[in-house]
Order: sequence, then C-alpha cells, then structure tokens
Amino acid sequence: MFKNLLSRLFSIFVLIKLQFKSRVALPRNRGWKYNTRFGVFVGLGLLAFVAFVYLYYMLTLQFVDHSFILEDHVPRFDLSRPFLVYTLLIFMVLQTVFLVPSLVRNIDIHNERELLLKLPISPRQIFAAKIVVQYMLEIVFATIILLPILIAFGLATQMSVGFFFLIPLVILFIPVIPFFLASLLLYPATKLVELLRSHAVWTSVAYFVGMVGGILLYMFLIESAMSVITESVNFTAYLNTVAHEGNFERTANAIFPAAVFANLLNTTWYTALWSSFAIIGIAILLLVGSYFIAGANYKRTYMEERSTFSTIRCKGDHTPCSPTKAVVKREVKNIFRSSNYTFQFVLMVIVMPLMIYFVNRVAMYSSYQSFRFHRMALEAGGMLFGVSLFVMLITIPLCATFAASSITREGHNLYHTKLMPVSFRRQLTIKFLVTLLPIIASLAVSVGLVMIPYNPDPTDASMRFNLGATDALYLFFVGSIMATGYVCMGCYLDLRKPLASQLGDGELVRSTEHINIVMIVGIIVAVVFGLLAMLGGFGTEVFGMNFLTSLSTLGSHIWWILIVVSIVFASTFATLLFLHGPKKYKELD
Amino acid sequence: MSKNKETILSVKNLFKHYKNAKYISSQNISFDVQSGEIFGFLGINGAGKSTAIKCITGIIPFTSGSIEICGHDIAEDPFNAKMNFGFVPDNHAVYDKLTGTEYINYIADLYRVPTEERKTAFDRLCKIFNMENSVNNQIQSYSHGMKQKISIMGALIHSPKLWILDEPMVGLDPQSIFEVKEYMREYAKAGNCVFFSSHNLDTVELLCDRAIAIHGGKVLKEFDLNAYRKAGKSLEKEFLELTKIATDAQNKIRKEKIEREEELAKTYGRMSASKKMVAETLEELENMIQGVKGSKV
Repeated sequence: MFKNLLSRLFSIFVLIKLQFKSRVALPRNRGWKYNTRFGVFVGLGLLAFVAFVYLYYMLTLQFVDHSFILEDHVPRFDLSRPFLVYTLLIFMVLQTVFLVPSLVRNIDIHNERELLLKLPISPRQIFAAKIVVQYMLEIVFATIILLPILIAFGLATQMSVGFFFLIPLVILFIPVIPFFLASLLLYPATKLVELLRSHAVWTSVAYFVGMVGGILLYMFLIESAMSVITESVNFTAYLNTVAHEGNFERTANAIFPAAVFANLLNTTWYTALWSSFAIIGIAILLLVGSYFIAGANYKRTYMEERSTFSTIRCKGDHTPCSPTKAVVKREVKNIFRSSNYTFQFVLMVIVMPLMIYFVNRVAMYSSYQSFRFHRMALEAGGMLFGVSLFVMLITIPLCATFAASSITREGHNLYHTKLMPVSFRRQLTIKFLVTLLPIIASLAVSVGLVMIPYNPDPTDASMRFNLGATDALYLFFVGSIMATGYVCMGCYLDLRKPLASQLGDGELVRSTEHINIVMIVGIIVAVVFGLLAMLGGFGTEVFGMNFLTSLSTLGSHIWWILIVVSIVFASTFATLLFLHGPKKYKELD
Repeated sequence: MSKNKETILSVKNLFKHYKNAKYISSQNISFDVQSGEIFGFLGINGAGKSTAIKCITGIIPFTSGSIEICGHDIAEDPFNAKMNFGFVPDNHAVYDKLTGTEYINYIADLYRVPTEERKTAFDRLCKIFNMENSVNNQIQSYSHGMKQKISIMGALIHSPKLWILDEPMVGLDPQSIFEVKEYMREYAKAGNCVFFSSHNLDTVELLCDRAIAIHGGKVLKEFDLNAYRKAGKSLEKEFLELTKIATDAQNKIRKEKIEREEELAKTYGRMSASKKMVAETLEELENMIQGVKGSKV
C-alpha cells in the first residue's frame, strides 16, 4: 500500500514537472535580434517596476507624515497601518482577477485530454498536479509583486527586523484567499467562457463592453484625479478630517483577510502570533475548500466532451452580386465573425473618438487651470490642437495595424486569392478600403467631438474651450492622409512577408512583426507631429517674439510642413503597395 | 484518341525553379489532357506534383514553358483561363468563418454564375455529396471530409471544363471516396476533363484513361491505362520499378551536388558555396531551357 502511495506521489511529481515546463517556458536562444528585443523588453519592464516601487515608497511616506500635502503647522496622523491593509486588499483583488482566467485555462482539460488521459495516471492525480502548480505560480507572482512593495513599506515606515522576517509568511499564505475566491468563481467563469467560445458575436460584445467601459472608467478616473490634484487644498482637508475621526483605521480593521495579514506584519509580537495561527488555520480550511470546489469543476470538464466550435447557422438565401462586392462581403464577414479580428480592428476604430474626446477634455481642463492661474491664454489654445493631433496620430496606427495582417489573415486560403478571376490589384484595393474607410469615419466623429465646447468652470459661462472648424478640418485632413499611409504601409509589409505558419486568429493578429513596425513608426510620428503642432500653437510664448516672427506665421508653416510630410509618407507607401505589391504577390506561394 | 476530342489542358516544356533553391522543381514537363478524359498525375512525395499543379492553376509563376487551359494561356490571359477550371487543393483550405452556403455562393459570385444555374448546380452538388443538412453551418464546425466536400462543391459550382484535384481522396470516408469517384466519371462523361494527383495507384488504375508519372520534377513515363487494363498489366509494379531506378539516379546526382558544395565550402565558405550552387543550378536551368528551345527550332 505504501509502495502504491509512493508511486502515485511520484506520478504527481512528474506531472508537476510537466505542467511547470508547459506553463513556464523559459526564453530560448533565438539569435541576437530576438535576444536584444527580449533584453530591451525585460529591461524596460524592470525599469517601470522599479519606478512603481519607488512611487509606492513615496506614497507610503505621505501616509506616514503627509509632508507633500500638509503644511507644517497642521497636526499629523500616522495612516501607515490602514495603508498597508489597503495595499494587501488591492493585491488580493488583483490576484483574484488574474487567477480566475488562469485557473479556467489550467483546469480545462480540453486541450490535454488526448495527451494526458492515455497515460497510466488518474484524473485525480492530474488535478492534484495542476492545483499544486497553480498555487506555486501564485506564490511566485506574490513574491515578484509583493516582496519589493512590502520591503519599500517597511523602509518607509522604519519597521523592526521582525517585519521583514515575516514577509515570506505573508507571501506564502496570501494567495490562499484569491485561490479560494477563484475556485468559487471558476464554474460561472467556465460557463461564460463556453458561451463566448461558441458565439463569436457574444465574444465581440463582451470585448466591446469591457474595453469601452474600461476606457470610460479610466478617463473618468484621470479627470477626477486631475480635479483632485488641482483642488489639492480640499483633498488635504478631507484626508486630515478622515484621519482625525479615525475612519481610515476603523474601515481598515473591518477588511477581514487583509487586516489579519497586516496584523501579522504591523503589530505587537503576541498579535502577530495569534494572527499567524489564524492565517495558517484559514489557509488550511480554504485550501481544502478550494481543492474540492475546483475539483468538482474539473470532474465536470473531464467527464464532458465539449464542443468549442461556433454554432452559427445562416439561412440559405443569397442575392447574387458582382465579384468585387462578393470579395468585400467576404472580407467583412471574415472580420466580424472573429472576436480577435473584431477586437483588433473594429474596437480600436470605436475607441478612437472616445480617447480623443476624453484626452482633449483633460487637456482643456489643464489649459483652463493654466489660464486661471497664469493667464496664459495662448498656451491654453495651443495645447488643445497639439494634444488632439498627438492622440489622433497615436490611435490611427493602432487601427491601421490591422492592415499589417491583411495577407497573413488569408492563411491557407491564399490560393483562393490567386485562383479567383479578380485581379490582385482589385483585391488589394478592397482590403485597403475595408481597413481605411472605418478609420476615416472614426476620424470624422473624432473631429466632430473635439469641436463640442467644454466648460470646466460652471460659474463662468464665458469659459468655453473647443477647437475651431479650421483646426478640426486640418486634423481630419492630416489624420486621413496619415491613415492612408499607415494602411498602405501595413498592407505592403505584410505582402512582402506574410506569416508562413498558420496559427489561430488570436496568435495571428499578435504575431506578425509588421504590426510592431507600424506601431513604432506611428508612435515616432505622433510624438514628432504632436510636438511640432504644440510648438506651432504656443511657440511664441516659449521662445519669445525675437526667435519667431509671429504665432500665425509659425503655426501655418508648421501645419504646411506636416501636410507635406504626410502626403509624401502616404504616397510613398501607396506607390509601393499598388505598383510594386502585385509583383511581390505573384511570388507568394 | 478520337478526332472530335478537344485539348482542354496543354502543358509544354514547363520549367519551375524556386528562388534560391539548389534543385529545379519542374524540368521540361509536357503533356496534354483531352475532353472526356480522366488524367492521373503520379509521383512519390517531393516528386514535384504540387509545384506543377500550382503552376497549372496560376498560384505560382513558372520559369519557362507554356500552360494553356481551353486555349487560354494562364500567364498571358489568366482571367479566361481561370474561368475554365475548378481546383481542389490538398489542404482542404476553405474560409472557416463562412457557412457552406455562403462559401459556395461566394465562389459562384466570383465566377459570375447566373442565379438559376447556380441554384440547380448547388442543389445537385448538395445531394451528390450528402451535404444538405450541414451546408448552412459554419465551415469551422465541419469535419475534415466535409471540408473536402465543400471544397469540391466550390470547385464545381461554375461547371468548369477542367476539374483539377490535388490528392482528393485523402481523409475522405469510403462512402465519400465512392461518391467522388463516381462524380469524376460522370463529369468526364459529360465532355469535361478531370486532372488529379494521387498516391493511390489502385484508384488511378481504376479511374484514369491516361496518367503520367513524374520524379525529381521530370516526366518519367506516360501510361495509357485503358491499354494497361486490357492487357492486365499492373501499374503499381511498373511505377515502383520506375521510381526505384529514378530515386537511385537522383540520389547519385544529389550526392554529387553535396560533395561539390562541400568542396566549394572549403574554398569559399559555407554561405558563398550555397550561393554558388544556386548560381550553378540557374546556369544548368538556362542551358536546359535553351536546349529545349533549340530542339524545337
């Protein structure tokens, strides 16, 4: 019996190793180009993380002594402990959010059924291995995120050595609660995933709602933060009142699981001892609970052979049309019936006006502030145009990247494009217009939105900010030309070297390097154009009248320069695509 | 061959060399396919069948030679040449996001098939291939065999004179294989012609009027299978003997090429040797093409 148990445990150990290898792929040596890109990516990520930890450190200091936001004579209240509770709570919420999809993927046996179940191992052993690996990965996640943050907190609040020694205990057990919550959410989440998988339309709707909602929320938060920062006197008074009345402390104590972990780190030794007992007890209970709850769901996925294919059924009715119209209809159906394609293209087209509108509002608000405090009317006006152009030129390449997979998207059906009695130039024009026209429509809506007057000060009706019709037309014109250029560029790059191996839609749209090239060029152009346009708008205020003759002269010169550059850019790629492209296309196999 | 038969597909001195390749994919391939004929295209893996078919269908350009479909040159007049054939590829690739009906109608729109004609053809094909119940479902939910069937239906919806199939029986169930074979016979009987590549010698022997075998991009032999059947000769036996001799000869040539490259690599380095090999292949190809043209003169 003991031998049998040992053999089972060994099987689980082997499976754990297998799971780790399949889930944590270490970067292979793929040549200097890849290694450099990977190195830059990791370096930038590390840099961003260090900056984040430093910001957290500074923020912790604020909750200890409020040196930034309170004047010297105002009494201080130490809010470090509730701040720690909120930090741990936010981490738990984030971990739960990330854990649910990860657990859905990990627990779903669908992809491994044929691979694992033919081996002499039981589903229970597979599940045990999966759950252990998942928990270990969560500990790794907690270590990467929480360890530097807690060390920063300890340093900022000058904690004793005991605090630092107890951090590993928190990291080891903190994933228990997200793990339990995720296992509770697993069943509804799996159901939702099944629904979305089988209905491409639902997936697109979910993406739309999530993305648009997220952007609206994000913009709202930015706007609120702007007003809080500019009205910081009120915020300081509010924070001090809350601290004085002890509301922060009381609320923090009520946040049960996070408060227990905070107690472990930030109180006397006997509270820490009791807290550690409580944490270990809760952890065992919740882990056992998670095992059984997730196990039940696993059994369900193991027992059922589910279909992940779409169930779209269409009536047989069809109105015959011209070959050109048939190709257009097929292109459109191909996009709208793939959630990934819809997400990559249509969503960005819809999001562009929202982003331009909200960023513009933020710019208008800050212009209003600078007008209010510094009376810099010119700066206020100049910023609007530059910011609008910048945001527009950042979002246009995002939409146009879709063109960078236009040939690759044909996949194994590329032979159809060669067989059909429709010239490739016409097919290319269709692909080009299907991508470009929605971007142009989105641009038209965007410039319409930036023309709507915005009044950041309800007490002063004369305080209205908006872009004039000339500026809006100019934005539309430059945006349209640049969009044409980006779409031609994306199409041409993809035509030169479409992705050879055919993957799923999702992998397909993400993996072509042409998309990255269009994005990088887009960012560079946006920064240069945006800066030049801002200079054109308030250059005289920055450099002085001696340096530049007059605002209008500079502005109009820069505007003309931008128009000429855009036309050259667009016509270069249009020539390459429509004249050189068909030759390249013939060579494609 | 009776006199009233017309040439539907004519391939003359076809040469194909892929850019930067050290070997020539198609060398001086020539054959004709007549109306009412089922024509087999044989060869082992890597013999160059798919490359030749891609050239015939206009999917890839060819280096030299000519291909005519119903008198229309595929390189000079691709539009009319394409209107006269339907092609079923070996990968069964069809637009997964469309339903079967949408796909067939899409192809019919491209080939400008009139409404009544398309409706009749569609209903008939659905019935023949037993697709009535699934044709309104999205293609991504189809099995391998169903995808093959919808691909065949797409190739035939415009009633082309020439039906080209690359490995059509792979992945089909016995019932479907039978249906496809029966339809090939029926199609050829109606005065059209069927040109298909296959590894299955029994099917070729049973179905085809004529066949050619290629190896290393060259035509090995043309078989009159009606005569074979009458004489009770085995296509399989002869094909295997021929390919064995050809493989041995090809291996010898390839070995010599590898030795030559090694020799060049010692003098010029690996990269330069590879480039020189490609240059030598191109020179060899040029000489071959000139030779063919000269012999014609």
